[in-house]
Amino acid sequence: MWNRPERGSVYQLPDMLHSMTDCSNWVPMRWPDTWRTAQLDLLKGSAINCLVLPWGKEKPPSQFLDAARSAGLALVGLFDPAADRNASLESAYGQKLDAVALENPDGVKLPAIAWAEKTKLPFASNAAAFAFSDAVWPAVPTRPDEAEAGPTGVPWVDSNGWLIQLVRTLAPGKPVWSPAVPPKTESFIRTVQYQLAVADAFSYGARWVVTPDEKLRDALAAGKQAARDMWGALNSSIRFFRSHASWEALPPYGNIGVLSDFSGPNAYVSLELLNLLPRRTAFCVIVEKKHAAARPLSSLNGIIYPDDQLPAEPLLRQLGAFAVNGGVLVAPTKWPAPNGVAPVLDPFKRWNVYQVGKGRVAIAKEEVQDPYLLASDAQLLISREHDLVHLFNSSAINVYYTAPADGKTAVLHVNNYGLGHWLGPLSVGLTKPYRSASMWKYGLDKSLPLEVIQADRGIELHLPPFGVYAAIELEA
Amino acid sequence: MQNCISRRKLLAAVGAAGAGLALRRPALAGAPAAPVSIFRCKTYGPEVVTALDRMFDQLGGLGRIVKNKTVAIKVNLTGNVNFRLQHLPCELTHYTHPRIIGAVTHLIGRAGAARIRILESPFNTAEPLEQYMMQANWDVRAIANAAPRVEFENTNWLGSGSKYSQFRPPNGGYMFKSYNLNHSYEDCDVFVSLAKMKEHATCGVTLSMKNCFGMTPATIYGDGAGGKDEPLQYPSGGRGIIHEGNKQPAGQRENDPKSPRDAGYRVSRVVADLVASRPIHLAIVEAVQTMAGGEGPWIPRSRFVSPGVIVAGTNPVCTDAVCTAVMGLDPSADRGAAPFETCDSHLALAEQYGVGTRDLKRIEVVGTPIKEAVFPFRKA
Repeated sequence: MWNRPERGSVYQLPDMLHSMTDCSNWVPMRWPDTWRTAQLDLLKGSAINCLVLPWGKEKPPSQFLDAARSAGLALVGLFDPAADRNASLESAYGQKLDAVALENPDGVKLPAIAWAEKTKLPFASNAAAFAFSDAVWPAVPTRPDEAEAGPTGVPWVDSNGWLIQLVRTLAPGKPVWSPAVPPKTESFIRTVQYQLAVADAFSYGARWVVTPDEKLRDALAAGKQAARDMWGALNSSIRFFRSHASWEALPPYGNIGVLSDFSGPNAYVSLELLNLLPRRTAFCVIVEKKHAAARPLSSLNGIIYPDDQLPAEPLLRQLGAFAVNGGVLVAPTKWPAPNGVAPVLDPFKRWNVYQVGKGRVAIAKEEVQDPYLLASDAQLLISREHDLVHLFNSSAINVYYTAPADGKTAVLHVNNYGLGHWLGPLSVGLTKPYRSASMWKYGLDKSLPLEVIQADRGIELHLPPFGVYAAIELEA
Repeated sequence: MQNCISRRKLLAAVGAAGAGLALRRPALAGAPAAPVSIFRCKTYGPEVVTALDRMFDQLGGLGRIVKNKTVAIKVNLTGNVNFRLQHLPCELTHYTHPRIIGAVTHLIGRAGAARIRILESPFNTAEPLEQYMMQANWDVRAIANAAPRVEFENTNWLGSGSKYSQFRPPNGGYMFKSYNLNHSYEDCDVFVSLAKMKEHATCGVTLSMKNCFGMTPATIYGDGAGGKDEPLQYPSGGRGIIHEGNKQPAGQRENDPKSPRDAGYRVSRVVADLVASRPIHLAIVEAVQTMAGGEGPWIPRSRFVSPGVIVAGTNPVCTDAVCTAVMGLDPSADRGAAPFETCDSHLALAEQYGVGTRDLKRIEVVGTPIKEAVFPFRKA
């Protein structure tokens, strides 16, 4: 599969991190505007080492900044787009902030965290890190205006994992922050929800910008024990991931390539595709169009090219060769039909499928407007026979499959967006016949060995209960 | 085809009995009887082929039924493929086991079938059936290669057909005058119901006849199709509208809109309608391993059991009656008695149609006697 190391890919992250600014080790927290210097005590012994501070017309006083600095915290000013940029910058320089967070980092003389909506992130800039301001609160959504289940009856989940994977690909080696904000609710946000917010970012190699909701921050400020317990559990979850920092360096493992420029008119379909494929337990690797020529594609079973525009001639030929050599290329309507080959129709009559050499090219009969249909059709066109993982009783679970270049080990991150609601105990089928497996979950000092059960196709693992997050370490 | 009733003969016989009258009689004395084979089979290993081979011999041989014919095999893959009873693979609890499917396919192919088509309407999807099976982590190639010319079709929608095939039960039907099904149920010479032996929350038991409830496409009988004038393009939801009667299927109206909205009344009648209009030529019910307490892991208190038995026959009512007895239950029971405490007996309703008898005294059991094969599901 996608496991050959190459320049600029995410699995060179650790070396690159050490050569970069210290922000790679920051664990940020959005400082509540109602908290004062006294609340810095709450961070003593916590995993948090960086404060994201409002930096517009309102700014924290110098005394607070000094106290925070003395406590060993890095200080990042989050710019208010409505405030004067130059004035905010001068103030940041004057206060000797460690970094600033703003939409456009051009011309900034401090380390800058590019903080913008996902489609506006300036990947060509020299930003030290990237934060997508439209991060979602990880959950099974219950908003009355949104469908709770997709067309297959699988519950919809809000997750940032796919977006983190994209940003890490488009900005290799740069830290990624997920500033998801808890929803305003009548009731308390539960501990498991915070633990899931941590896992939804950290398991994908990013940082959650810790943001307590109003009730928690007020209860913490008031010294309530229940709130301190919740705060302790949240910090313990972060420390769990920090103690497994080597997992961050592992690249995604997948058998389906999604090849796009992921921008402009192609953004909607390509980004939704990245969001929806994991819900179908289809594991993809992201291939940026401009770097595709340098990527080894032959290990993939299929490539989805969702962009409307045809690629340049060399890439067109490269993808044609991919199909001839045994891959399945899923292409848009404008893709040139192979010469002298009669098409067959797929079962849904939405694709002309051409057998070319050892593989196939599937060309859409009509412009694809529904990303869900594209995701489901592509998985079937490539064939579920190649699915790497099968999940059972998995209702609201997303899995992130990572493996180092040699493929001898792997880590499977399992996030339960159902917050501990289960159809039944989770079973995981893996096509690759790993010889040993063990499971980590929050609160464990050592992993639990799992029995590897031989199945007709590969192996199965039967997981004990694990709450909202588990990691499965595998050895071939 | 000895012991097989053709659809034409059946319609003629029931039509002659007079519309309506036959349906109200407690039993049709002349309902046909046919031998049923029982075989003890403890595992899903190679012994499955041996067992089924012996059983088909006991029933007079497969060749006379399938030679040079297109054979459709309706398997049972009820519920979402993702849903398991604990960690147990679906095939050990509520799905027809793929090795049984492969063995039956192999033997039918060996007996000279011209073409074998594996059919099912998997839950809420139009995905190709073989792709759906792969989600269960099955080796689908093993089934496809078990005989020459093996095909799969998802019958939960129009599929590869150009129109739905209409099936009309005798006497205007208990629930509907006709049922619109995927073309595969018409475009075959021989129809095999290959079921799992289970209890059923709505129908008491689910055997070769109840398996046929899954023929109904969710594009017409699915929850999302309810009340629509035309079938949906793709399946939507389960078949709650048949269970509850809260909406009418797409483009169809039931015979009596004032009939009970009780699933125990409705589903049993739909099952009887279906097996009377789409005759089953070979009924095979496997319970090497299965579940007790219900038809799927969504039923509370359901549990894994290993009866170690396979039952087969050429008459579905007779076969299901013997299965019911093997389960430690009474096939002659009516509503109010186990296993039909809250439903009408679809065995009785099918018997009243003249499909076959449920009277054990009239059914010749070959192979293992019932008393030696009995596995009391309610006590397991």
